[in-house]
Amino acid sequence: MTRKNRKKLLAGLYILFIMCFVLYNCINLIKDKKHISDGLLTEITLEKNDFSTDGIVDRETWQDYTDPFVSQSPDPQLFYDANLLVNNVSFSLRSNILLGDTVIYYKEHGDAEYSNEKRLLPTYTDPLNGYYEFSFNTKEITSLRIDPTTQAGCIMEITDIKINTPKQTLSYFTVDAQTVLLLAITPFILFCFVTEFSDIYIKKERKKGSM
Amino acid sequence: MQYLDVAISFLSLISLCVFFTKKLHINSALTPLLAVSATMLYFSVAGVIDQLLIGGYLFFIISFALGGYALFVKPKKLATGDINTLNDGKKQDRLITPGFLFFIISCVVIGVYFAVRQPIFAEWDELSLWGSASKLMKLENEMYTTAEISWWWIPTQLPGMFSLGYFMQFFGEVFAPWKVFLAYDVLYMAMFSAAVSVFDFKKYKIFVPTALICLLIPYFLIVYTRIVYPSNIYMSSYGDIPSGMMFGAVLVWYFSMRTIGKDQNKTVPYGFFGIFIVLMAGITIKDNAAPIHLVAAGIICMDILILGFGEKQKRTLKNISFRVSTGIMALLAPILVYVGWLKYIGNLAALQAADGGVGETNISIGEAVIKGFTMLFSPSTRSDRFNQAYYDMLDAFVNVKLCIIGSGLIITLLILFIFAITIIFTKDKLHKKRTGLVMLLSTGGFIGYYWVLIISYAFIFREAVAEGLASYNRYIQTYYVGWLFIAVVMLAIGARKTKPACVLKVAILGLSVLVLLSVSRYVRPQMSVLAYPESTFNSWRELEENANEAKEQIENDGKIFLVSQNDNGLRYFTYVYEFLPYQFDHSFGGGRTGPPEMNNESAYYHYSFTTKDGETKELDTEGFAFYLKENDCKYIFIDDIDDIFINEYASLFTDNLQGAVDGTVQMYERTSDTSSMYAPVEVQ
Repeated sequence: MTRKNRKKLLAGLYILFIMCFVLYNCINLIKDKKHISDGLLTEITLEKNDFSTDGIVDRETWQDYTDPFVSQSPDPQLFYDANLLVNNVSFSLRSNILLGDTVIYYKEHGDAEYSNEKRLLPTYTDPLNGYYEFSFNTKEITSLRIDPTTQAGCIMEITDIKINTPKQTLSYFTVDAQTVLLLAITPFILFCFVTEFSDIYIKKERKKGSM
Repeated sequence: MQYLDVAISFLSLISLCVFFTKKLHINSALTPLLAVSATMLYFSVAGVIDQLLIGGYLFFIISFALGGYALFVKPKKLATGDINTLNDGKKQDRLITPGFLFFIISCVVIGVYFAVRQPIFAEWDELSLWGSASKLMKLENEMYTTAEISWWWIPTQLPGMFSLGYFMQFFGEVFAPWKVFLAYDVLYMAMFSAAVSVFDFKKYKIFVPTALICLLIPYFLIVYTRIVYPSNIYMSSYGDIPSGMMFGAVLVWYFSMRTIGKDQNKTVPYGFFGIFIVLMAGITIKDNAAPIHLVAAGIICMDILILGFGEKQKRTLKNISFRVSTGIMALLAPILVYVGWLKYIGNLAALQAADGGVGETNISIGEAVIKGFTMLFSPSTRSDRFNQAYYDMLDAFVNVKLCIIGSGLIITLLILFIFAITIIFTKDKLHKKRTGLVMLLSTGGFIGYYWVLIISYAFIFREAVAEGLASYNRYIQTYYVGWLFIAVVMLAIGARKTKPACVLKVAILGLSVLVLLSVSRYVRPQMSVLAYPESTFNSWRELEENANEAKEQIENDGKIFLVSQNDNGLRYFTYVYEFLPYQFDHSFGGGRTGPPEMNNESAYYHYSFTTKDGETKELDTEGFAFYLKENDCKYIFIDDIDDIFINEYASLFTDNLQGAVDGTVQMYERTSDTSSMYAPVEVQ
C-alpha cells in the first residue's frame, strides 16, 4: 500500500467512524420521535413509595433528608413492575457516603429472573450532587430494579425518579470527552490493524510478481 | 508568576534534556525521565542539607547553562571512526523523537488544562501528608521534616515527590496544589516517553498503541467497578501509583537504553550511568514501596551480571570487573539512598510509633521476616494472626477483584502471558533472554513482595488493620501497575523488528483495544481527570474560603485552636493545611472537646489531656483554659460548635459564643497575654 493510499485509508476510516456516530444517533432520534408520536414513550415521574423494596428500612429524618432509608444488607433493591417502553431513567440519590456502585437491572418479556446481561451502569453521574442517569436505548421492559449501593448501613434518599425524560434533538449528537477520545483513537488503531495485514498481502503479491 | 513559574521549571527540564541529548548522546526520549529523576534527587539533597532556596536558584542556573551550552556550542570535529564523529553524533543527537515530542505535548496539554481548572487537594492523606508537606516546603523553603506543623508525628515519608512539587513552583509567589499534580504528571509523561524511546516515527503502529496502553494502565489496574465518583489518578498527590509506575519505568528506561545501545553497536550504551540516577530517584517516592524498587535494582544487577554488555565484549579481567562492579552498583545505589534517608531521619529524632498510623514498632522488619519464615515452614508454630494473614492473603489473590479484568491472579496471568508471547515470538535473541530474565525475576519479586505484605499484616501492622487486610488493594496494585508497564514495553520492544502482522504487533494492538474499551466502559470522562465536575471540590473550596477570610484577621504570633465538634479529623487536617503558614495547635487532632461527664466513648471525644508536667487534667472549663494558655493558643477558630461546647466553655468567650451559635465560622482572639478570655474578631 502506498503512502498516499494509507493516508486515504486513514482519512476514510475517520470519516466512516464519524458518519457511523452521526447515523447511529440519527436512528435513535427517529425511533424515539416515532415512539413519542405514537404515545408509547411517555414521561413518568415516580416516588420511592411506588417501589417495592428489599434489604431497606425507612428511618426518621436525617440531616436535611426528608424521606431517608437505610440499607440493611449489602444488596438493597428497589423494584418497579410495569410494562413500559423505556428510553432513560434518572434519579437523585443522596447518601451519607459516596456510593460508587449504583446500577439498574431490568427484565423484558419472557425473563424469569434479573441477570447480569440486563444490568445497566450509569451513563451520566454526578454523585456529589446526587444525580444518576441510565440510558436504555428504548427497550420494552416488564420490571425495573434499582440497586443503589453494595454497602449495608448506608443512609440514602432517592428523589425525582423519572422515566423517559424528553431529550432535546441536539443532545443526541452531543460529543463528550470520551466520545472524542474514542473517535480519535479507535479509527487509528483499526488503521494499524488493517495496514499490518495488508502489508502481508502486498509482500506476497510482490513475491509472486518477482517469480 | 502564577503560570510563569511552571513554564520556567518545565523549560529547565527541557534544557537538561537538550544537554543530555546533545552532549551525552542519550536518546532524547529517554532524557525526560533522567532529567526529572536528577531534579528529584537534587532537590531532595538540597532539602536534607537545608539549602533549598540557594540550591534551587543554583539548579536553574546550572540547567539553563547546560542547555545553552548544548545548543550553542558546537562539538569539535572528531576523527572518522570515533564513536562521537559528527556523522554518528547527528544520529544520536536528534532531539525530535516520537517519545520526546509526546512528552512535551502531553505536559503542555496537562499544564494548560490544570492551569485553567485549578484542581485542589481533596483526599484525606493529601491533607494529612502529601499536600500539606508540599505546601510546607513551598512556604518555608525548608524540608517538611523540620518545618513547623501541628501534627503529632514527624513526617518521615521519603522526599522525592515533595521535592518535585517544590521544584515545579519554585518561582511561584503562592502555593498552588495543581502545580503539584502537574509535577506528578510530568513524571508520568517522562516514564511514558521512555516507554516509546526505541521507536522512530516510522514505527507509529507500535508506539501509538504502546503510549495509549501506558497512559491507561493506572486506570485499567486501579478501577475495578464502574466508578461514579471521580477517580483522580492523574490529579492526585498520593505516592502509591507513581511509585509503582516508577518501578516499571526504571526497568523500561534501562532496557530501552540497552536496546538503543545495541542498535547502535555500542558496548556500553550512551547514558548508561544514568540508570543509577533513575534507580536512586525511584526509591525516593514512597517508603513502603522500597522493596519493589529493590526488585527493579536486582533485575538490572542480574541483567548486567548474566547478560553483560554484548557478545562482542571480550572476557578480560577489566571487562569482567566492570560488569561486576556496575551490577553491584546498580543494586547498591537505591539502598544507599534509602539508608541515607533513614540516617537523616534518625538524626532528626528517634522514630516514633505513630498514634494514628498503621504500624507497630515492637518488631523490626528483620525479626518479622525470620519469624515469618519459621512459621511458614513449621506450621505447628504458627500464630492465629499469622494463619489469618497468610490464608486471607492467598484468598485475596484469587478472589478479590482488583481491576477491570478481575483478581490479582488474572492480572498475573495476563502479565505472564505478555512476557511469554514476547519470548516465543520475538526475533531478537538477546531480547528473548532479557524478557525471560525479567519474567523470572519480576515473578520472584512479586512472590517476595507478597510475602513481605503477609508478614507485615501478621507482625507489623496493627491487629485491626490485619483483620480486614486494610489497604490491600493499594499496597498490591503498586506492584501490578509497574509489572504490567514493563511487560507491555518488553512486548513493544520485541515487536519492533518483526514482520508485518506478527503475533507481537497484533498483540500490542489487541491489548490497546482491550485497555481502551475496558477503561472507556468503566471510567466516564466526568469521573476522571478528563472532565471532572466542578462540584468535586465544592466543600473543600468552602473550607478554603473560610480559612482565607480567617487568616486575614490574624495579626499576632501564636497558635490557633480548632473547634469543630463534629469532625473526625478530616476538617482538622484540612484547616491545618489551609491555614499554613499560620500554625494550628495540636487541638487533639480534631473531634469533640468537652467535659468528662459528657464522654460518649467515641474515639473523637476528648475530655482530658496531659500537661507539660505530666499531670492529667480534665477538660472542664478551667482545664480547657489551662490547656489554651499552656499551649500558647492566642486564637480559637470556631468551625462548628454544639451544646456541649457552648454549655461548658461559653464563659471563656466575651460574647458567650453568640457570634458562633448560628453556624457562623468565627475567629476569637485572646484579649491579653495574661487573660483567659477570648473576644471575637471579624471573619465574615
